[in-house]
Amino acid sequence: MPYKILEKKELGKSGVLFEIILSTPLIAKKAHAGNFILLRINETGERFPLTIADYDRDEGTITIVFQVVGKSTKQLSHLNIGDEILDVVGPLGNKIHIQKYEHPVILIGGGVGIAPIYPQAKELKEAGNTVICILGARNTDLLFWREKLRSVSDELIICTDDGTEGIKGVVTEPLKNIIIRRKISIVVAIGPLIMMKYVARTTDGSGDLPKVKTYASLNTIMIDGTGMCGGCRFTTVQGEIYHSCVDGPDVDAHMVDFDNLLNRATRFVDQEKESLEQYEDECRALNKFKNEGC
Amino acid sequence: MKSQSPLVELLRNKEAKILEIGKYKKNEFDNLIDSLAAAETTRYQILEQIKDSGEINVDRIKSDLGLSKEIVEISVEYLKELGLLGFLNMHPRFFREIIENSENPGIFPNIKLILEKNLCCGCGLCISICPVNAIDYSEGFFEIDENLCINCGLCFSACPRSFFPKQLDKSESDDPNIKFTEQFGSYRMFCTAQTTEDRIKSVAQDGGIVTTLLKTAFNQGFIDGSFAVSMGDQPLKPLPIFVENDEELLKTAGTKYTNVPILKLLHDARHHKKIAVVGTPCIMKALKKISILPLNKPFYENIVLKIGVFCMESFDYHKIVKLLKNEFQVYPSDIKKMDIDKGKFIIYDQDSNISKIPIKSIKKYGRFGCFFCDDLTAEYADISVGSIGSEPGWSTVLIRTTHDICQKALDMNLIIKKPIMEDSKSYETLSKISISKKKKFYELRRVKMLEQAPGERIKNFEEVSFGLSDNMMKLEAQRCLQCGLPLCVTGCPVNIRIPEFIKLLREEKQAAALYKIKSSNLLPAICGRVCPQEVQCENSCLLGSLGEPIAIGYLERYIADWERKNKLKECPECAAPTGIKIVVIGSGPAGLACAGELAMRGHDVTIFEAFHAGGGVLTYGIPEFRLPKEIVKDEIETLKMMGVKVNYNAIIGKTLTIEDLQEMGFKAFFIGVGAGLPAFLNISGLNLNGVVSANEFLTRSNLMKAYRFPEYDTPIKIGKIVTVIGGGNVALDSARTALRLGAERVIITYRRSETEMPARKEEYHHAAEEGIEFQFLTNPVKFVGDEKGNVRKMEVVKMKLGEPDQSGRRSPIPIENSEYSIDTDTIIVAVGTKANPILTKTIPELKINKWGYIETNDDGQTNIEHIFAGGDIVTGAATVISAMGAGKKAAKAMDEYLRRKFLDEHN
Repeated sequence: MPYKILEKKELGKSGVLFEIILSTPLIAKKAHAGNFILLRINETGERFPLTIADYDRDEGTITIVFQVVGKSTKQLSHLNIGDEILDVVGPLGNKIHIQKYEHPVILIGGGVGIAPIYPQAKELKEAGNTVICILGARNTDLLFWREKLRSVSDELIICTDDGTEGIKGVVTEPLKNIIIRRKISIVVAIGPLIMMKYVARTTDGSGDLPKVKTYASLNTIMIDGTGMCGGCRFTTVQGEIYHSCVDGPDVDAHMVDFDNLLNRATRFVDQEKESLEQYEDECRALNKFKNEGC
Repeated sequence: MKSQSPLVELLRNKEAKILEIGKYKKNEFDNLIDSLAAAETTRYQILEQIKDSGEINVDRIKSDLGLSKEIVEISVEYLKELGLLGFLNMHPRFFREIIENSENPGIFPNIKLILEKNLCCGCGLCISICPVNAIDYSEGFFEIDENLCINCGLCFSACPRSFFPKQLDKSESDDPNIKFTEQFGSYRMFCTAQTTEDRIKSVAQDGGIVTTLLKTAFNQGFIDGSFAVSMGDQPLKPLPIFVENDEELLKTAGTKYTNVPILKLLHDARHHKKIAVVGTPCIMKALKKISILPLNKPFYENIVLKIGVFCMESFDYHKIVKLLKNEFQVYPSDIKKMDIDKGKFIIYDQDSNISKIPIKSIKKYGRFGCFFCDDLTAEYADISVGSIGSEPGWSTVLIRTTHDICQKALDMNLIIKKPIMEDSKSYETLSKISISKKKKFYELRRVKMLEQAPGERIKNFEEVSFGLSDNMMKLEAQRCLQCGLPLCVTGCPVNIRIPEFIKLLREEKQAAALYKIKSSNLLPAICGRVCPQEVQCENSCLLGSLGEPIAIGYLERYIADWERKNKLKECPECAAPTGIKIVVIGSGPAGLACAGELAMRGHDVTIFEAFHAGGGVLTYGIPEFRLPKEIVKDEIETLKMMGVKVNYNAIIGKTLTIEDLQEMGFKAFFIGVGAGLPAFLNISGLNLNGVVSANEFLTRSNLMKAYRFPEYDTPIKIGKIVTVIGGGNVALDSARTALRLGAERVIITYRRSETEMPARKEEYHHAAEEGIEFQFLTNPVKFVGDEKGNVRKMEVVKMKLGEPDQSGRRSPIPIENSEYSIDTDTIIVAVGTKANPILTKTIPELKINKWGYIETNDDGQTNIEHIFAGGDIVTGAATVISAMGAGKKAAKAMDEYLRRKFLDEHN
C-alpha cells in the first residue's frame, strides 16, 4: 500500500523545517492529538517516529512536520509531492486526554515541537478550555505556524533565544510569569528534551513556584512503537521503567528522569553522524553527476 | 591373590550373598569364578599390552600371549565396550556416556538400561545369568529387584542387545559347501521339507519339521532335553518349558506368536548334557553372544542343537490381546490359530472362519525390541525352519552347520525334502521379506551436516549449516527403523507423518516426500531449521536408544531445500471456496500455520501484520545465520499462492479494530500476535547506555538489517566485551550476533546450569564452537556505569540449584558472599518475554489471565465465539512448532465453527 506525499512545504526560513501531507486513509481515520506514526522511507531505511501534527479524516490525510537532523529526515526532506514513502504505521501511542479544565491550560512548543501542540491546542480549545500557547525557538527563522496556533489559542506568546522575535529568552520565563500570577490546570511541553526538563523543573513545585500538573511528549529512539523492543524505555525518578511508545508519548513530566533520557538520546550519535555524512556525500556525488549533465 | 579384575573382585566379595540365594552351589560358584577369572586375566593382560604399546597390534598380542586371533579380537571388542579403550579413541558402541562415566570402571551397568531403552528382545538370558535371581519376567515385563541386584553387570554383558562383537557375525567362509548370502547368512542346504509322520502332521504347523527333528534327536540319543514353548493355561499365553522326551515334545508343537523368554530356563537345565533349543532369531543370537563369555561351562557347552524359527516380529501377550480386540473384535479364547501368508495376517476362529488384515496393520502391536531386529531366518541357528517360501503343509529349511540330525531324519525317511532353487519363486519371496527386515542402523552413524568452520562463520551472517547432500540424505534415511509404532509422530506437535516421508526419501521420491510433509506442515524449511527436534520427534525415536536418533530435522530441511533448489512451490490443493472472510492477526508461526490451514479449507484469509515484513519472530527474532529470511519470504509466497492476502503495517487495535474488520465483512479472527514485550530485570543500572533488550538488539540486526549498516540506515552498537543474560535460544542468537558484529569477547551468563538451558542443543553446540563463553549458575545483581552513563561492569552472584520449581527445573538460589564482577561494555538482556496488551485491551470482553495471556479452550477458541487465538499469546513464550501446532488446531476448529454457523453444515 503506497503512502503518497500530497503536499510538501518548507516552514520558516531556516531551510531545515518541513511540512508534509501524507495520504494515509486508515491512519487518518483513527488519528488523535498525541498519536504518532513510524516511517520507513525505503527498503534500506530505518524506522523513525514523527508526531501527527494534524489530520483530515475526510481527505484521509495526516500532516507531519519535521526538522532535518540526520539522514532519515534529510532524505525525507528531499522527497517531493507525488513521491511515496514505503512504510507508514500508526496511529501509535496514546491520544491525549481531553476535558474541560477549571483553569486555563498552557501548551509549550519548542522548535519542531511547535507542530504537535497544534492538534492538542485545537482539541483542548474545542473542549472549551482557555488555551495559552508559548512557542519557543532559537531564532525567528525557526518559528512557524504562528497564525495556525493563534487560531486555536486565547493567548499566544513567542520567545526566541536571540530575541529576533517576541520575548528574548527561553520558554520557562513566560511560563514562570504566568503560573505565579494565575491558576493553571495543566502544562503540556513538547520540544527538545532539555526544554522539557526545565519546564518540568519549573512546574514541579520544588521552588517558590506553585506545582502544576505537567505533561511532556517523549520523542525517543524507537523501532516498533508497540512496546516490543524496549529501546524507548525511560526511567522515572523512582526508578520504574516505562515505554514512551505505549505508555506515552505524553507522560507526567514530573516523574521522568530527564537526565537519563538525555543520555540515552546520545546512544547512536556516532552512527547517526556517519550515516548523515555518507548520505551527504552521495547527494553531492549525485548533484555533481546531474550538473555535469550526464 | 587379589584379582586385577573388578568383576571377579566384586563377585568374590558377594560370594556369601550369592551362595545364600542358592542359585549356585559352592563348587559351581568356584568353577564360575575360575573360568571368569581366567578370561578376565587374559583381557587385562591384553589391556596392559595395549597400554604399553599405545596401539592395538593383534598379531603381536596373539604371539606374545599365545592366544588365538579370534580371542584377541573379541577381547579387544569387549574392552572397548567396557569403556576401557577411550584413550585410543575407541568407545562403547552404545551408552557411551553412561559406561565411560560409570562409578565402577571395568563393570557393565545392569540390564535396566536395555529395558528402559526398549531394546530388550525378550530372550530371557539375563534371568539365567543373574547370580542372585534379581531379574524376573512375568506378563510380558521384565522386572529387576534392585535390593537383590549386586550390580555385577553380567546380565548386560550377556545381553544380545547390549553389544554384539562383529567377529561373531555371520560371514563368508572358505568351505565350498557353505553358501553365504546377505539375506540369509551362511547355509549348506536350502530346501522345503515335510514330515512323514501323520501324528506330527496333525498337531504341528506347516511341515512339522521342528517336531520331527527333535523327536529324532531324542530317539537317537542326540539330546536329553529341549527348551520348548507350551500352550499355557490361557489361550495365546504360552510358557517356556523344558521337555525331556518326545512325548512331552508333541504337546508343544505349533507356532506361538507371543514372545517367550525361553532362555530363563537355561540355568535350571545346566545339569543336562545335551540340550536342544528351539527359538526365534533373537534366542539364537543370545546363544551366540554368550559363547564369548567365560560362563560357557555351565550354560553353553551343553547346548548341542539350535533350531531357529523364522520370525518377523513377536508380540507381548497384552499387545496381542489388544491387536485381536482392535483389529478383529475378538478375544484370545475365540482364536484357534493365527498365520501369516501373502502379506496378510490371518486368524482362524474356533469354527475355522478366516479373517485377514494386511501385515502392515499389525506392526504397531509388535514389541519395541523387534524393531531393532534384522534377522528373519535365525542366522545363528544350526537349522532354521519357517513357513515363508513353502507350500501349505511344508516348511522352508536352511541347514547351516554340519549338525547331522537333519541328514539322519532324511535317511530314516522321517522327513522328505525338495530343494529350493535360487531362481524359484520361493527363494525370491523369502529373499524379499528377509531383505525388508535388514536394517542398516548397525553400520551407520547419524549423519552430520556440513557447516561453515567456526572461525570463518563468525565473520559473516551466512547460514551456519549447508544442509545434507543427496548422498548424506540417502544414508540417513536408510537408518530409519520404519518401526510399527512411530513414536516420532507423537513427539511432533503437528504430527508430521515422519516414517512415511523418510520411506519416500529412501526411495528417492523427493517430490512425494515433500507432499507428504506439506500435508501436515506448510513450513518445513523453517521447522527443519528451528524446531528443537531433540526434545520432540527425535527424542522419541527408538534409534535414540542406541545413542543416535535419526536426524529428522535434517531430513525435513533437506526436502525443503530440495524444493527451493528445484524452484518448485509445492502448495497443497485448497478446498472449494467458501467465500467466508477470516482475519489472521500476526504473521508469525502461529498465524502462518493457521492461515495456511484455513486457506486449504477454502476460506478467504487475510493476514494483518504490524511490521513491514512478515514472519513475526522468524524475521525479527531469529538471525539470518540460523534462518535465512529468503526462506521465510518464500514460505509466505506459498501462502499467497493459496490465496492468502497479507497486509503489512497494520496494527490491529491501532490501525484497525476488530469492529472495523467486522464491518468489512470478516466473520472470524485468529489472534497470533506472540509474546512480544521484553522482560527486564528489576536491577539498578538497567537504563545505562549499553544495556539493551535482546528484542531490540535482534530486531535491529534481523528485521532492520543493522548488521549491514551503513548500507542499511538502522544503527547497532556493539562493544568489545558483550555479556548476554539468559539461557534460551534468544540469548544464544544475541550472543552469536554480537560476535559476528565484531565483539572481541562474548559471555553468556545463565542462572541455572547447562542441563536446564532451554536453548536448542545444536545452537548451544554451535555457540560454544564459535567461542562464546558460558558462565552458568551466575545471576546479575546490578549494572555499574561510568560517569558518562555507559555500562562498564556487571556485578553477579553465583547460584546453586535448589528444589525443582513448578516447571520441574531446579530453581537457582544465590550463594552468599559469592559476588564478583564482569567487565563489560554491552549487556543484552534475554530473560524472556511478556504478553503485549495493545490488541487485547481494545477487546475488553476478551478473557485474559493475570499475565495478560489470552484464555482459550483446547481448540484455541476464546470466550468470544468468533475469536480464536494460539501461540505465545496463549501459552507464553514457547517454540515455533508449538505455535504452529496451535495455529493449525485453531484453524480446524474455526473451519468447523464457520461451516456450522454460515454454511449450515453439521458434523
